[in-house]
Amino acid sequence: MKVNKFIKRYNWIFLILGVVLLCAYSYSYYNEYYPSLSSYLKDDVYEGRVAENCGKMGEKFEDGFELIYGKDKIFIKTDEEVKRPKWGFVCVLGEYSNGTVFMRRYHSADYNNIKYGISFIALIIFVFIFFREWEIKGLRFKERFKGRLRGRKNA
Amino acid sequence: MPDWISHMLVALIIYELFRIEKKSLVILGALLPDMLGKLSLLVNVFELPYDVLYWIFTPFHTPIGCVLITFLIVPFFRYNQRKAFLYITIGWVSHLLFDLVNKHMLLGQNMLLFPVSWVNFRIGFAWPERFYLSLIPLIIVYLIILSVKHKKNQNVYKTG
Repeated sequence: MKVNKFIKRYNWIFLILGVVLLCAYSYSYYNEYYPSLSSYLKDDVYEGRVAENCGKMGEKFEDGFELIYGKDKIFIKTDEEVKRPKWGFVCVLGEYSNGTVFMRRYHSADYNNIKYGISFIALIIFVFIFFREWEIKGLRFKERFKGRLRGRKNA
Repeated sequence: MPDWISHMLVALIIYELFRIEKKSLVILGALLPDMLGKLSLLVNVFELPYDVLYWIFTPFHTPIGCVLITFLIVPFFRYNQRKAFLYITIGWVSHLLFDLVNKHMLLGQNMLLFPVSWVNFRIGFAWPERFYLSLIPLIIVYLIILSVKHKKNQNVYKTG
């Protein structure tokens, strides 16, 4: 009985612990499934691995270009003419070998950043809708009215 | 990912089609997987290490992560806890299913069976930056539903 009461009262601790464990698991094992640029640069064990990495296009050269994500930068070797993405990023599928990625395929996500602008508008609309239905009372949200929004009750 | 307005429209369509009381909860659920997950985009602004943020926040875009977060959020609402859980869950399930339309080469954020499997599921209808391919049809569908409901309501008032 006491154990049940404890679990009921402090279940949020177990939930937070679950979230933390999931995040830790994801961070600890992603290299085995989807090695990233920084994994390549840190360790030699990824020699010959094929992976996809996305980022900004850095300097272009005759035999390839630099792919940048955050602090990491890696040379992508290719004979193909890869266009610099407009308002977006480039994704490269390639094989890692000796500090270089040998490109197999690429995708240029032009105008992808517009999506983030649109999503920001969505966030503002969401906040508006949310506070039409809820008000803050103490540390919790209390409904402003019972049931659906007025005018839709007969729908 | 499709843009957030598309996700929001899917939530609103579900709200209009089914007798859901709180549309804000369905929309909250529909945006939930991306709200925390997209914090990883900060790497572009602050030049933080790519892996740290992206992979730490990836579980928030999986069913198991969403279930845990939903359980954590629900007590913050002074409302029927079962209904709140159901509405938020409907939202994030619609989000994860809708994200399946995205095309990817290898990497994606649809690890539906995580942590059991790291496989990325996808239908691969369009590249993520072609969000307008889903946004425009969704706007049309939503407007049609609203106009049909409006006409129905008018008929109810006339006959009443």
